Amino acid sequence: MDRRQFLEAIAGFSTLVPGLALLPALEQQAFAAQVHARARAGTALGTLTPAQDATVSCIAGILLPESDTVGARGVGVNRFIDLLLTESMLEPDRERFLKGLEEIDARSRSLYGAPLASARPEDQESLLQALDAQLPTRPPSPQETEALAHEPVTAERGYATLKQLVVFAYFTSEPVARGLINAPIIPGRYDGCVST
Amino acid sequence: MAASAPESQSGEYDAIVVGSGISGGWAAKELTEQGLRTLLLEAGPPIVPQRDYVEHVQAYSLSFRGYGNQRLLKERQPIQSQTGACDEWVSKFFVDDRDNPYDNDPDKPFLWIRGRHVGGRSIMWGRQVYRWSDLDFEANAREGIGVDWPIRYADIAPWYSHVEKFIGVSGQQEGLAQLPDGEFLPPMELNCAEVRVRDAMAHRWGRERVMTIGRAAILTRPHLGRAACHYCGPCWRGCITSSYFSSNGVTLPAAAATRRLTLRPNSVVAEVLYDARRGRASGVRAVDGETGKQLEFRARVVFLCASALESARILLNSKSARFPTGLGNSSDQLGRNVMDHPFGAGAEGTIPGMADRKTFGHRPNGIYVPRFRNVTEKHPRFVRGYGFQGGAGRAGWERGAYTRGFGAEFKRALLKDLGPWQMWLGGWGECLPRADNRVTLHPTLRDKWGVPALHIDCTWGPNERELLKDMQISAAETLEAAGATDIRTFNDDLKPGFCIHEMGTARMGWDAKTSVLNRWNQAHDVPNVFVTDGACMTSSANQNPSMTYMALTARACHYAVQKLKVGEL
Repeated sequence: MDRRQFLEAIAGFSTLVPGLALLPALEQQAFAAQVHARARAGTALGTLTPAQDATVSCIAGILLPESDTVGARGVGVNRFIDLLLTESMLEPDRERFLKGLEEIDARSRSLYGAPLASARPEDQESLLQALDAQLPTRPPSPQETEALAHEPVTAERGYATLKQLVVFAYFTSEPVARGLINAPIIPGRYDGCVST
Repeated sequence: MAASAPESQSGEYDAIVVGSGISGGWAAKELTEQGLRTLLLEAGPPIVPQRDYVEHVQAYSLSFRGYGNQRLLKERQPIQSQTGACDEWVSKFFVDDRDNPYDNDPDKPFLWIRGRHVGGRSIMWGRQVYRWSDLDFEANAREGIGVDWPIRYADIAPWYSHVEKFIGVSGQQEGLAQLPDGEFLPPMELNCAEVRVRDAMAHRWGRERVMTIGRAAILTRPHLGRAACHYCGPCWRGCITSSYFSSNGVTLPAAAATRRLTLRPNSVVAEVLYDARRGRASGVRAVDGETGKQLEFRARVVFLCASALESARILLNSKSARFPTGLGNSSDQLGRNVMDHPFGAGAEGTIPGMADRKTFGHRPNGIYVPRFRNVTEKHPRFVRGYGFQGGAGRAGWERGAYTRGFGAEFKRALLKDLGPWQMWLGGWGECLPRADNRVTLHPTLRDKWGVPALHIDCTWGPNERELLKDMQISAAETLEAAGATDIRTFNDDLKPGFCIHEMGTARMGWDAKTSVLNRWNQAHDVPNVFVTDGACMTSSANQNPSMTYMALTARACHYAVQKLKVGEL
């Protein structure tokens, strides 16, 4: 049952002006569609330089590669991250994010003589292994978040932030959220203990 | 202040209710149902559920998919956006901090989270509803703290029933003296991990420390024409089926059905007008929120339900020769005794096993552990106590940001598998009333409508800090008893106000010299003024307070109507 059918079934909206019940969704979604269309249009990104974009896309592709299901590059996580950088993120966060990319590429240059996106695939993977081994395994407390904002950005910190954003961008994309996960929006009941 | 003459409403009303949130909606319903022509003034705009509720809109349909426009939030809502509910979907339900300023000393941070629209915070509230007991109503008198409550459980119990029967409360009967049972709809289910923790607690503590399902103003079956919950999850974004209690879906339709309700949105009440000759309030002065035009409304009785701090602000701003420091403030208690529940401290851990079990549907409710400190035994370091709220679950893809690994198998696991069962318990503690925790009118700062803003002085005291420590210890001990692993305690060091349970600024009491309101929520000094929101609270208990506001409001309305009928108001 989709949202419209649900509203009609439960609230009897079909007796009202057709489509009225969907106004909230439609208005908010129409606006979002414009934003997303803008993000997709053309080739130019709002913030990421071609080199920075290559680093983001390279890591995104290794983190969540295409397999029997679509990968992070296939759903354009780089464009969504660029949208956040361009239109939403606070300046200090944006600076720290870009500094993180710079640190990752600096590490790659010192180890392999090339920025990450131009390094050999096995070198890319081994650098990611090393960075991933330092990934925090739980979200920071409010106090830790406060402290982190004042710590220098390392390649490890940059990677942790990028991984968060890649995971978020991938799983909230429509092809994944709707196409692959497709959890019921209106479950209709709660069961506290069922088989997986 | 505009120099033009105020618009005087020609329509005469029996009652004016200020604020349409949880308390104001109840006042409107009770007063209109008992025959009073009632004007309900709401500072903010109307809400149209079909347009404004977005609980079924998915993240991919939003511009930033739930990440929000951080720049805009920082610019317009730096305070409101600190609460998780003020998200990309419904930041519109929270006030603009620039238009609605207040002030505090830098070393006394206070977070004032508000909704200004028809229905107020009844749209975004947490929906947890608990009765108080005499353990709570007698505490001040027993310990010599603040002043004595002028009511006891027996005075309010029938009104709790009155409220529960109308709003619909799902919950489990437990037979505990410190948390009286109510008129419950069927309880929601505990999940597998919660059942395990509950059983382990019963084994270790018997009936001393009990876990039950949260008591929530959410329907588990159809009730008085409203549909049962469909378990979509994010209640705070509105509910098109009105399956949880909100003014918009429950009390305001009932009031409207009497044809005696006039709801006027965009009406920012600035002061209560006082008629010195009669010794009564004559009405209110307001500002039209859209045009800035000055308005005056008159009625025989005024109910302030604007929220604890807003009602105090209106009264403090209602100055006259008789009341130079604010209407009804002969006790000097108006604006004092601000309380909020200390919370954000507890523990979390992993409940091992049950890898082949999961939940289905989004239960908009958690577990509850009624207060167990200072119930039968006296704690050496603090008075009063706290209840735990919390819950267990298995994380989906969200765990990916904090799970090591990458590649095709990592992606497959996030798409198909769930994380381990994890459970958290956090305390909601009682706050003691202290006279120096107070709000005053700022000498120069005004809101967008020219109404003087508040200066807020509020800090946690030593008792609240002890509670926050003990919450962590006892939560960890509880999880440990259930065999949890990786137990971690937390104290998020949350500031006063952030629990959004602010109360106490016009307390009830026996004595006009030490309290603002009498045992009927009636101003000692001005008998046709009633305050029935959180301002009236003499102590805070540790239970979520909204249902107590509803019950006190209904009780005060019945009293006021009786007195009007016999010509005593």
